[in-house]
Amino acid sequence: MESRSKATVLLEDPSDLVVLDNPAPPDNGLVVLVGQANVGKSVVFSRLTSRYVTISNFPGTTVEIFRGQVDLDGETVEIIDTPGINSTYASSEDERVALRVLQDDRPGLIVQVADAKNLRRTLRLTAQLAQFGIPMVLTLNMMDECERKGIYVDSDMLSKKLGIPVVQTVATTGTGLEGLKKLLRSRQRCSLNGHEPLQWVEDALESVQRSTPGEAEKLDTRTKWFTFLVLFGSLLHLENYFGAWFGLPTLATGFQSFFTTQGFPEILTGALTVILAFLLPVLLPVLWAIGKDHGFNERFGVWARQVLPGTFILVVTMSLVFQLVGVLGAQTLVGILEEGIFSGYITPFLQGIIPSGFVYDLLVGQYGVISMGISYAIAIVLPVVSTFFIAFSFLEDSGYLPRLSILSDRLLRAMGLHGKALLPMVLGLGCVTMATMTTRILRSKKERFVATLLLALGVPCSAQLGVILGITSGISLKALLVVFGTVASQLVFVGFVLSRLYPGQRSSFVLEVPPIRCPVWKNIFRKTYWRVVWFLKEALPLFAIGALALFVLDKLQLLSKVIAASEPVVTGLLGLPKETASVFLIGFLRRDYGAAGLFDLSRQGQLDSIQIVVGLVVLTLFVPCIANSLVIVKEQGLRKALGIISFVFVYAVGIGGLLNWLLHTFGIVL
Amino acid sequence: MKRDSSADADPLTKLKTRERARIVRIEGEEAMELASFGLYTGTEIQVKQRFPSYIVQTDEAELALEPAVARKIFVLRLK
Repeated sequence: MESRSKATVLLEDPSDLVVLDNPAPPDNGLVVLVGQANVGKSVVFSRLTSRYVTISNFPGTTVEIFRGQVDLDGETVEIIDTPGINSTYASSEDERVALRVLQDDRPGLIVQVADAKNLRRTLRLTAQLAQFGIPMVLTLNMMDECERKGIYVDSDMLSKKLGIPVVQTVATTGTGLEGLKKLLRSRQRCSLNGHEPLQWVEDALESVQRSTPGEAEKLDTRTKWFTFLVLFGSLLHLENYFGAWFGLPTLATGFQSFFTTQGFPEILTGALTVILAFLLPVLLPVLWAIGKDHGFNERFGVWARQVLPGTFILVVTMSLVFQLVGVLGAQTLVGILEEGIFSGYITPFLQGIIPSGFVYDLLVGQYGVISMGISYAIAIVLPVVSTFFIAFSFLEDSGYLPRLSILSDRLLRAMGLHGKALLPMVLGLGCVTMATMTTRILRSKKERFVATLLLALGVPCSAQLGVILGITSGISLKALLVVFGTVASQLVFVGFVLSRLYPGQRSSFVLEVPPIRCPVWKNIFRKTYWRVVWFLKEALPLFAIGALALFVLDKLQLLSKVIAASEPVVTGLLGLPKETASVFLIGFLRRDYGAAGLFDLSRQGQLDSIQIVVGLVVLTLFVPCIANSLVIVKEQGLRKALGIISFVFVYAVGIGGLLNWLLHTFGIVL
Repeated sequence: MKRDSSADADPLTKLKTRERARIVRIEGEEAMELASFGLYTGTEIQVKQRFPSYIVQTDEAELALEPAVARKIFVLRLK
């Protein structure tokens, strides 16, 4: 256990605990772990004992009882792990087993392991367990998740209320478990003191947890005020889009002309306009209202899951994300990094000091590891991914995403999935590879297959999304709608057909809806930081390898042959210049890499609007990147993976050709 | 007003928004899963929303259910 003593203990000193009496000597010394399913009981057990325990993911699959020994100051304490229970009413085989242990073995101590973020459910079980009259310790596990969700639990106060020690742990990392181990000899009994259990739970909850309980059936004046402000901000935000269509003077154009007359540089003007005209009018009132008033949180949480207000909130949210990722990230930051730093200083500087020849071509040539690989990763993809992760972490922490699941449930069910599949889909907008791994949360094989295929087919990852938004914002809203409309309709169509062809059942949709909370900025930035670090670790080598592969293909004259071979399809069917063939080729190394190449071509003015739109659609639908392909093989097996990849390839080119033909035949101006 | 007897139990889908009810029976294999969310026989619930998904409030949380699941939960209305 030496290796674990290094783990930081959340509750630094066990003497911080409020212990009402001195610990009594152990009776039969037996310790029993009790708690709901999936609260990390098994992890706590295996961390306390030296015995390895496999962790089951489904409630009701560990009917066996696990026994083990804990070394405590040279003595051993026997410990038993029981199956997850929700109540002491024994409605299932599992619960019966757990309760038999409590009744028959008469343990000296119950350690209730609980999900810290579901304190109400936890305390209801505590109240029931207290009636056994056995000494207890309450372990609030998954404190990391709890913190991430922005829930604060006052465990000192809780300990006072319950009359038993309360310890906070993160079992997966071992945090707090040394503190728990020291409490295995504690013998405090929990007592309701004659209170009615449910009322007792509510009283305890009120004083120890900062959350948003209760119902806000009526709107008080303050909530009305907040609602008005948020609505006003949202309308102001939307006015910037719609006003421009009707040629009205908007807030955005107002700021723009003001900053221009003040002599601000173009990039700064753009950034300030986005922040002042688009982001702040909505974000400030929303954050203020959610941070100050619980009544508003509740109302907002209700609106976000209802069809009409929910759609309005979705539109505003999406356009906010667009402003942050597509404009601020993909245009302003990319502009600064790419044109300003890489093309402006780094590449010319390196080109100046490296003598021309092999090394020059390798590092800073047309397919140079630095001039192409690193600069694409850092200058084009990184800003987009970072801003996306900020937006995603914010939505994740606010509790908005489950409401989106509810809104999208019916649509997803038509596609053989259900609301829970929304999370992998939205995550796919961050990174499809990461999202493909999370399809494991879906219960049935069918759902996992459908979700994996749809992710591979049509869900653009953040870098790609940013590039799509970046390029199309330079053309028109119509171009953006054509790209997204085409891709989205294909997702729905393929999902619809696939759900009828693929055998098997989908699981049912049951989802807990967390309250809307004001996200903690520190957590958002910490999460964003880790996600960006993870991204760089994974992507930078691939970007460099990608450039290197192109460089080698180019040197061996193979690149031109591959491009020539694909020319009939690229120039003929899709109507694109032949250079885009190399874009699709590198798109396989990383999708965002390909998108960045397309961005480059369009910035050089080599593509017209129809070509850009067709190129974006094909690239979005096109084969998944190497990393994602490997994960698909891992999750679905080689045979299915090859099926998915070849289907996606043919389908993408087919749809691209069809779109090209349609746009030209009907003379659609974008 | 309905009399409280098990024969009067309706599926949850029959409830109107804001109606309160007590669960008397859950059919099908979802019973276990629902129990882990705090929905079991005896739980008092309130319907908060019926479309696009059913939303029920229990003491513990707000739960979203698809209609196919809601149909298997039988309840007695509470006054």
